[in-house]
Amino acid sequence: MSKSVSKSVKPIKIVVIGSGGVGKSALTLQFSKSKFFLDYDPTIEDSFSKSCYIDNEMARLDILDTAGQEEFTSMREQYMRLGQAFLVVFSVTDRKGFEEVDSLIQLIYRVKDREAFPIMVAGNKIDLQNDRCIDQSLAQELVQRHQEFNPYCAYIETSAKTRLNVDLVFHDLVRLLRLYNAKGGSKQAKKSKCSLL
Amino acid sequence: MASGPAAQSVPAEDNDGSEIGDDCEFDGAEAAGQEGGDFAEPELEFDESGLELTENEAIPVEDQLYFMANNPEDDPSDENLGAGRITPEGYIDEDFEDTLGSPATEVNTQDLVDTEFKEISRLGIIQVVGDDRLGRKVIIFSACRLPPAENLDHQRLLKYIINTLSQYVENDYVLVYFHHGLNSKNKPSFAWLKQAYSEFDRKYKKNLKAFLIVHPTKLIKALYFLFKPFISVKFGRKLTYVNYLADLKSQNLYFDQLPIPQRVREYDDSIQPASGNRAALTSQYSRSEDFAYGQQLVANPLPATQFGVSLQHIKHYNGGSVICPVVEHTIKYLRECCLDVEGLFRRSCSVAQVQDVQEKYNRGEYVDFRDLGNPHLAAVLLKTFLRELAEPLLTFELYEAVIENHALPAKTKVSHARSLISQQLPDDNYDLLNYVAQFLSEVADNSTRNKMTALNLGIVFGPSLIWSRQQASLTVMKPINCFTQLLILHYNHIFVR
Repeated sequence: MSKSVSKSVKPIKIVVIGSGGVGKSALTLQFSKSKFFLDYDPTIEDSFSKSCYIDNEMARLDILDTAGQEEFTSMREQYMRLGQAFLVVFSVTDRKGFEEVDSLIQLIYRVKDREAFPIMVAGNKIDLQNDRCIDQSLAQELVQRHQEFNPYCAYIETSAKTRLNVDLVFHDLVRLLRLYNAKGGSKQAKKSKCSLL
Repeated sequence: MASGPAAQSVPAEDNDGSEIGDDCEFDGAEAAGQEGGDFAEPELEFDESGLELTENEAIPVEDQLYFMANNPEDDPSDENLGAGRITPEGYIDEDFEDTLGSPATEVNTQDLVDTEFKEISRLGIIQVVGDDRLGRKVIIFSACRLPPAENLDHQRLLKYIINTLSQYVENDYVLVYFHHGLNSKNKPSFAWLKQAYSEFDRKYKKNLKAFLIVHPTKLIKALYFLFKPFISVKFGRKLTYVNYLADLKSQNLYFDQLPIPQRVREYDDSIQPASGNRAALTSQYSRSEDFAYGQQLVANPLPATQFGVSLQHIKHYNGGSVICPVVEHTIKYLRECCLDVEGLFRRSCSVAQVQDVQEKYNRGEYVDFRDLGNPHLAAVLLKTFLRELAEPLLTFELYEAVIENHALPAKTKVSHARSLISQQLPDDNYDLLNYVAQFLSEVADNSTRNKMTALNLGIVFGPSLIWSRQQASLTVMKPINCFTQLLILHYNHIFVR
């Protein structure tokens, strides 16, 4: 492809959030670099970009990988403002991380001042079947609750280690965003008359 | 199902992903012929645009991230990226430079604008004064600084305003308009206002989150009322009249940092109602604000309260020792049972559980962590205790010095930290910090088992030891984390009091 194409495409800002140590960075790095990193450094903030074709349409993804620790929550709203689509990660081996998913999604709605927003929920680490404590049905239920008013929300199980569904989760998020822009986005883009005051 | 990447490629370079603001760039050949697997079902039901998953063709792309580009010193060096590169397909990418460097130049855009419009910028009509409490940029427009109409090129003023604003309107911003001082002499013409209105397109309006009009006159209110039918409800919601400067404090602004023109302050004083009623109301307001933001301080702490109080309070009610029960218990438990727990201090814990134990401590009840059996609960509790102190353990006073430590040459960092900690830190703070840091160094000693090296501990513990009075920002995170890492790594050399 010619480079002019890649430049003309506006990047999509994806923000990856979730509790500490659930594999946000592993997922992001597996997607962007096709590698599983064994490093154990907590993230403060990293960003990556990657371009790919999704449904025959070019997409440039700017992915912001964020810190999960509660110390950094003061910054959470700041980067949430920037995101156009969110990947909320939890680990199926970690109850605490799962419990935080709902409040994170609520926070997105609040920061974005919207009732619906493109959000993918990823249940990570499903290669660790023996340590699993969050059932697929449990996560499905949570997402279904959100789907009642937010059709742009979906759940996928992933493994950053085996690369299972890693591409799919990011690609589907872009698909959700495209849908959102095509439908819900147009609603809010309605021309609103403003005053010179 | 099949998530088999048909042609997975490994990027040529090995990037260190742990750097802050690490802007990476990939040429990963991404050919993932995926099919919607079992897990993909939920999203199918509303995807009407046809979810035929096609072969995703890979293309080499050069990218530069614009996220949080306020970190130019941490960017990977341009030289590394500048060279042409061969992608897995053999595509050679020649002119990388085009796309590089925009964040770096962005930093100086305002300087450029200021130089170009020198005669206007020095008037200070428009000032960008940093973030408010919600991280939104605050832009101030002071009408009193407008010179008499005949002395000002309004076209250039408009250009200046547009150039200044356009840097910020991509994100949320707040406009504060000081109306006082606008008179018939310096008032811009109606035609100019109309032009200005038409030049500000949707993006300027969309991200305007609040429009505060300070000291509005009856005329403004009347005009607004007149035009109301034509104004969107949404905009109406953003508009707030601020009758007294003190009321600005309730608007998420860092009131003390606002460069309010002297004339406006004087005017504000002159219009304050004489009765003490209003003053009382205002002072009450500001006090409640102090509690509402930043630290959740406890208004009237009980003797046993340990969360959200000052070290003095703790010392006073803890028999003269700053090592209060919550610190003593958590560290004792963690030291005895949990030094080999993976991700200690990194993992989170249920908020409800933490609050529950916090309340127990504040009521003076005894908590047995062995019964609770959750190492992360104790770890989170210790961090929470430190983070909720009335003042950070490393004190506001030493904040600047701690940040500066990062910029020092490697050799002098430890000695600088030693003088800060062992000479300048108040005794109470030193005692508690010493207690905590010693334990953290023990945790780091066991990093082969718990994976928490001094570096990792620095990252997760730093924000609990020191923070600024102002809005937290990512740029100071690295210095803070490195300083904390230093305290843990060189514990024996730094704590020598």
